[in-house]
Amino acid sequence: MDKKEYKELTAMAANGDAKAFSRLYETISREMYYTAFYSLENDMDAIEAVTGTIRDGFNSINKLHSEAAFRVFMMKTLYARIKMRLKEYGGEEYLDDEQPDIKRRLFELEGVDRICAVMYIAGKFPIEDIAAFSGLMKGSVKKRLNRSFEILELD
Amino acid sequence: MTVGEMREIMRRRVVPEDIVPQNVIGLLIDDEENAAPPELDAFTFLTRLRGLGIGSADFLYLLEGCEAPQQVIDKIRNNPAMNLQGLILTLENSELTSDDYSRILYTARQIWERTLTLRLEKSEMALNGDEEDEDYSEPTFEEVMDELDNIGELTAAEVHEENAEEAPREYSAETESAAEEPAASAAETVPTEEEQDREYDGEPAAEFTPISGNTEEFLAEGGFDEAEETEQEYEPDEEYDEVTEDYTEENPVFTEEIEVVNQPYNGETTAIIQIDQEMLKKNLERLAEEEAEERRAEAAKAAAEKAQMEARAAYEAARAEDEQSDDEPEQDDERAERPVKTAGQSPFVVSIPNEHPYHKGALIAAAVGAVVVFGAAAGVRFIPEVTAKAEIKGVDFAEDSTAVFSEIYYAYNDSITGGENAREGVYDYNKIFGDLLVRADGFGTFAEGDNVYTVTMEAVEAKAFNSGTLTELSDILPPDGTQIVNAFEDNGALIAVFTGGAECGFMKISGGTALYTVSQDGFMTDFDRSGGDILIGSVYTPKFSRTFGIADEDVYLPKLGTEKKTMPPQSVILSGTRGYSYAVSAAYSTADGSVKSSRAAIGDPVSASADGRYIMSGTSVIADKDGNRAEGGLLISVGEEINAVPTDVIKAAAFFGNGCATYENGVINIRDENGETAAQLTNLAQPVTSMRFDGSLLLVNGESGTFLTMDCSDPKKPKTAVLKSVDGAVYGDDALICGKAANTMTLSHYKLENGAASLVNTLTKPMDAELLNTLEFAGINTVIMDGVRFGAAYRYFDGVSVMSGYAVMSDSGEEYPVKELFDDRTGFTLAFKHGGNIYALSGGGIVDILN
Repeated sequence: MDKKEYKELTAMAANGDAKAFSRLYETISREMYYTAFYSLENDMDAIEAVTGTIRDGFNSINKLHSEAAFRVFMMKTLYARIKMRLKEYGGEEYLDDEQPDIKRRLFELEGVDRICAVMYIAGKFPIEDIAAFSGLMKGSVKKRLNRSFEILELD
Repeated sequence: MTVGEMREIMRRRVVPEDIVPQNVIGLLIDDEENAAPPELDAFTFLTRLRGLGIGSADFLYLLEGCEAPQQVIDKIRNNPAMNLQGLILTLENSELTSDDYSRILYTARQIWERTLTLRLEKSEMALNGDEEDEDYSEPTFEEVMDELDNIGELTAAEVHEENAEEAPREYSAETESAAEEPAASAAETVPTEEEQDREYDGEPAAEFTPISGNTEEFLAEGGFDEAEETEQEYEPDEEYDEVTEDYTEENPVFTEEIEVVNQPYNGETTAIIQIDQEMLKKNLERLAEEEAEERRAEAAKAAAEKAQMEARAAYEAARAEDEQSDDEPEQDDERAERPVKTAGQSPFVVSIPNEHPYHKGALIAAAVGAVVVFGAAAGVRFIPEVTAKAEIKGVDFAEDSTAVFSEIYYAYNDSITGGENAREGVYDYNKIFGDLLVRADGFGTFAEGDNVYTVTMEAVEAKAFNSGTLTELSDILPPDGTQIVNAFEDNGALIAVFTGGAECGFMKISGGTALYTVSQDGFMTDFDRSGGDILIGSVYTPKFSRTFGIADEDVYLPKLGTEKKTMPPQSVILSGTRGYSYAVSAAYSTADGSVKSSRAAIGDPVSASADGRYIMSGTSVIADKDGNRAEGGLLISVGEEINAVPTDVIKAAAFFGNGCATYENGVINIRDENGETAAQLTNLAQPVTSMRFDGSLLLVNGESGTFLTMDCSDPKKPKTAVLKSVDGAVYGDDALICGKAANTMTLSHYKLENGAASLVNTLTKPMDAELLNTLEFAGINTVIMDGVRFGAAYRYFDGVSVMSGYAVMSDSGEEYPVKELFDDRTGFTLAFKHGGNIYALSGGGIVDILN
């Protein structure tokens, strides 16, 4: 999306145009869902986290002056919402039988490590972006990813 | 499995219907429908107008047509250089109402729709050869207005109805349908249709964009602002160029139309704007700038003086208020100090104000003398007599490892681990500076020669500044499972203190690398600096992973130091409380990290002070006055003696000065150096999870975070500490606070004097209230405080651009010129000293702040 298009969509979204906002959201929707789904226990929690983030984004769109700022805001908010939900789990995470095997493997990881790993693997986000979304230092993200890859036995 | 394979599997997951982009529209619209429709203000009105591509000339025409006050029209007409802010102010100060805005918007939308229709009709005619190519022109504003005349008078009711329908969204269904007809007729002739469909799915705005781009964006960039911006609008649009290329051969007529657009065509709207530009460029710009500059200078001077006075007045008022509020509990103290002989009389009770999250919901009952009986009024507790007397015992150090081992052996066999009531502290970046709670987003930036360090809880990021560029060296991470909780400069080097569940300590960093890392078993419960030493208290519960015997001291004794050596058993106090956990305290030299002294107490610790005092709890050997063993107990070792005090089970504890605070049975006891209760805090708003002291200020944490702050400088008369929450940074005894006064941004330098924050100087920058609303402090990493200069970065949105500024003042209050950036990608994110200069990192690279 070029700058001009982003600016137009932002202006429209800031005026309450949900369709324009959905165009912006489209650029990051899959990444957001994957991050939420593989980090949280079930689909319901993931959808709740994503819809909450969408609402936040829609309400704050007039303050986001670039596409990069939009992406960072959305992912940062989503990250915070996921962490909040993980806290509510109180360290006891439960996966029902319907959850895919790949998710079971991811749940061997500690919460923040898992979010970082999911952002990297499923979200295809570079380490710099993950650091920006999570507020962690790049080195810390690297460290967490290495640790996660070891546990997940990824080459 | 590779990362790629895993990625492929993960991305096979289908996104649920609820959150696919198309369905999100419904979600957001539902939200909006449930909300009350917003009333139009000047800003929203202008934003919507610019969305409709209304230019300056059209705007004035609309104002006149809608009978706006003539003085407003004249003011706008006579000030073509008026920026968005000025325009908003002018409108807001006029008699125009929300209904007027609605009516103008309605008319504007009619114009917009008709312009679109006429344009497409003309385009079709041109293509059909009905009109000479060179005669083709965009519909003029008058043409559109003529068309509109036929629509008839618009009643107020219609306006309201229409506005209510489309207010939340610029392009309502009705708009779309109005555009559908011409769009359909243009489908064969306007070759951009396919592209438009891809982008906006038939939304009229997209169709209209290329043609009205100049007018629309002129307003979009701030309306009647600067000629430079308007000029940019005439630059060939990439998307449009593609269209031109595609259709040049097929349709020369259309090509000509495009060229006309790129070089402003004959439409009247554009022509008028061009005239405005010329006027801006040639005649009025300089004059307007000069005038504006004069006004700004005058306003700046006045606002600066006013803000300085206000800041001082506010500060003095706050001080006076504090002194007054300090006096209030004094009166209560006097009342409490009166001899209380019988039950039923009022004790020393202070209600803690509820308005600040840091001090709500508690009552204080102070014990005056050893045996004072308080009345049983609501919220008041009797202070048990048993608390009063401490039993003094000799310290019982282990003779050898056998003594320690046997303690562990029996506790382990009885499954009494100990240490369960010890809690890790709650750490954040905020610091308390006198009566200020200074909020920060990191531990700040430290410079050492060519090295620059930024410190967060996660790591110390080392960078090198060479030849005007800042390059990343490395991230210096604390040990696994720990986080950095404090950082400060020590003889030119950086000390980063860390703690986690299993260990705590500090790293000395210099030359871009960690010179050494001191580690101490257990999580940190207290930290202090004394001379050149660093003192740490921790609570440690060994995690046994293999069988061990007496000889395996490295398994069951605490370890500490740069090489993490086992403590000698002779430095372990046998506390008498059951458990195999340790309260550990040690002092280290910052020069080389060597251990200067260390000792520990084995049993059931709650907290260890940095200077060798311990609070032990659990089943105790401590007897009460009748010789009965208590369930809980407080054991404070001082020198070669121990003060033992029976207590309720201690759930949380913290040390300060010579005293401590313990949380037992829902009450916080402020205890003196002998462990005797000096005052009680009762009726707490929520259960306490942990406590810590910042100097003599007690911070009490619950599930919701810190909920109570008490000044315990006099343990017998604790009083509520009202902290003012501010943004800024604290380095040692200096603090720089970024704040707002009336129409002014302020940077204030405070110094800590006798525990109070004392204002030294304030740098001010005049700023409209609306801009102040968007003002943000750029973070602690941008703060420079070297005792001579004090600077920080900030940013705000001026309605058109994001402005990033860096302001510096000297210790005498002299202000340096402010460095400003417009629409920088990141703004200033970091600042550091180098060779006597101050440099700041921005999205565009390094900026020399002083030159």
